[in-house]
Amino acid sequence: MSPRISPATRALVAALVLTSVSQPLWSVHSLAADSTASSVALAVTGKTVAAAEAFLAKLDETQRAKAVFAYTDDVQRANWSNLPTGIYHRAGVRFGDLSKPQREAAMAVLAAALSPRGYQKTVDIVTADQVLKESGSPQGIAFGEDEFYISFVGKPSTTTPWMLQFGGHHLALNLTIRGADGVLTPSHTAAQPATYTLNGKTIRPLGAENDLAFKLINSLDSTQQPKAILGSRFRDLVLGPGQDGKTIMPEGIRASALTPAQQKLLLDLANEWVGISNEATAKAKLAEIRANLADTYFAWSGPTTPGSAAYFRIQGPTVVIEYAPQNLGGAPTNHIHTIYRDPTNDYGRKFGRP
Amino acid sequence: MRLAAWLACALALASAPAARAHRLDEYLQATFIAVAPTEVRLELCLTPGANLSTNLLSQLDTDHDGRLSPAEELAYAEQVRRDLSLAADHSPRELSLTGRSFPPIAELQAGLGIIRLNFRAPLASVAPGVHELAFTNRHLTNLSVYLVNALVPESPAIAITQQTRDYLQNAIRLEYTVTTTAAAGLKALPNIPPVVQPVRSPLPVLVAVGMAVFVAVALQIRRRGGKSR
Repeated sequence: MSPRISPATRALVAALVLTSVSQPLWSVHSLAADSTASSVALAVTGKTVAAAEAFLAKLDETQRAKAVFAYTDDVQRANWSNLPTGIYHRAGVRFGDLSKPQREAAMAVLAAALSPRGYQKTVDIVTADQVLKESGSPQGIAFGEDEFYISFVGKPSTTTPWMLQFGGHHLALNLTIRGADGVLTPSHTAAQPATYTLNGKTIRPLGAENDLAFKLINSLDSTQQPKAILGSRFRDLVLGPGQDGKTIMPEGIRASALTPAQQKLLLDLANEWVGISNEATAKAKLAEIRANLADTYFAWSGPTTPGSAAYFRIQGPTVVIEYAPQNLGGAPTNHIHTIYRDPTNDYGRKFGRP
Repeated sequence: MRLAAWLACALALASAPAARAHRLDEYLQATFIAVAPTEVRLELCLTPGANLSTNLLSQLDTDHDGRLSPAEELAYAEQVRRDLSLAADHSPRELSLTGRSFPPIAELQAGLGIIRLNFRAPLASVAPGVHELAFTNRHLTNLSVYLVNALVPESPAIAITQQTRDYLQNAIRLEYTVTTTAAAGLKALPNIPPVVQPVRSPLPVLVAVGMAVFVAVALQIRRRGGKSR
């Protein structure tokens, strides 16, 4: 006896089958999940836009004119560097020219756009530069928290693309947003001093990156390590400031040759950069990196003893992360430069122009 | 007088603790190598540290007028070119300058400016199979920090299979394969895959469910209508 199927059920099944022609049935669940993620991301964008508008409302007309650039302004889009003011000219609004309420409003924009730990990392890098300033700045070069700039490339919007830029010496955050989508590449984080004490607490702005990387390289066995370790010295970033649009050949060990535990370490390490942005943006990016894990590489140059100066790189189809101790001034690990890029979507180029 | 001022500035920079944090007395030379079916292209990004600017400027600004003329730029590019060597399948290749970009002298003095030089060399053989390129940069070896990297080829007909550098990265050997399409002169294609945006909207599912509910309700009404008759 064949089971009885009501016409209503038949109609429902038929409609779902029809739908699955364009989208597999299994994607119904992921679409629902995507929809939730998208709503969360849209809410974050809404919060960030509101914070940006509140900040702009606190500026006078002259300041506002300095803060907002046209989305088509490709010069300003790429106007970032590792170098301090005096050597490098940034545009936007300088923190030193802002009143306390204006500064607080600017920091509220960062708090809305970044994750709590991304925000803290940002504050720690800025504070490191203040510490550097207090150790003595040479003539013509300006360090310290006053020398950081905030700007918007494009008008903050919940629908059309725009970009939040925040940077100064050793920091360049470039977050492009379009509705629920966000991309934090290219971004540069760095620190000097890489370790300092504040109110009795030791601060290491890039400490987690360093520690996870040594944990990963030391988790590799005697057959894996030779594949990861490059035979050459890397004294600087390959794809640092000024090297937009380049895709270098990947090197090192393929993530497919790592154990699941090592792969998790690799993703945790990547998340030190990816996770600077708000959780919604970071979650989507990390999922993308995870999906491309088989084509992702981890390369190392230098000693593997924790605490030593070593360069490393993570490179996959949609991510490049480099970490390069500068080994200058007799302190090999006290000055770190890093870069985070997406060769397919730096500056949100996939988002198009409004 | 100007040289003395630069020297004084450089010494002042070198004596400050914070300034030691920047590359002052080294010359960063980063080379990117692009292998195409019929040619090799090089981009050299040269960043002299601030303390080197005096010496370097004396080589660059030969008439000491405080600016770089096209002739002076070309002369320096030629000097760099002579310090480079490229061999394809063990056969030396002549590099020719195809582009140059020099920052203002003030940026070089500050240790910020990047000199960009572009070179190319033709590849005589694009026969399918395994090939080798060897590149060496001997420009100012006593002062320089080198980086050298192959770019992902734009042409799908070229696949770089190995890059081997020396420890200091002033020499690199690239092994690559050419497929038959390259030999046939296939045009280079961009290396970035087309953007495929995932479908994020639940609209199609909602429409389908809506349709199903509508049809189901209509059928039920029709059945009930039939019974009552």
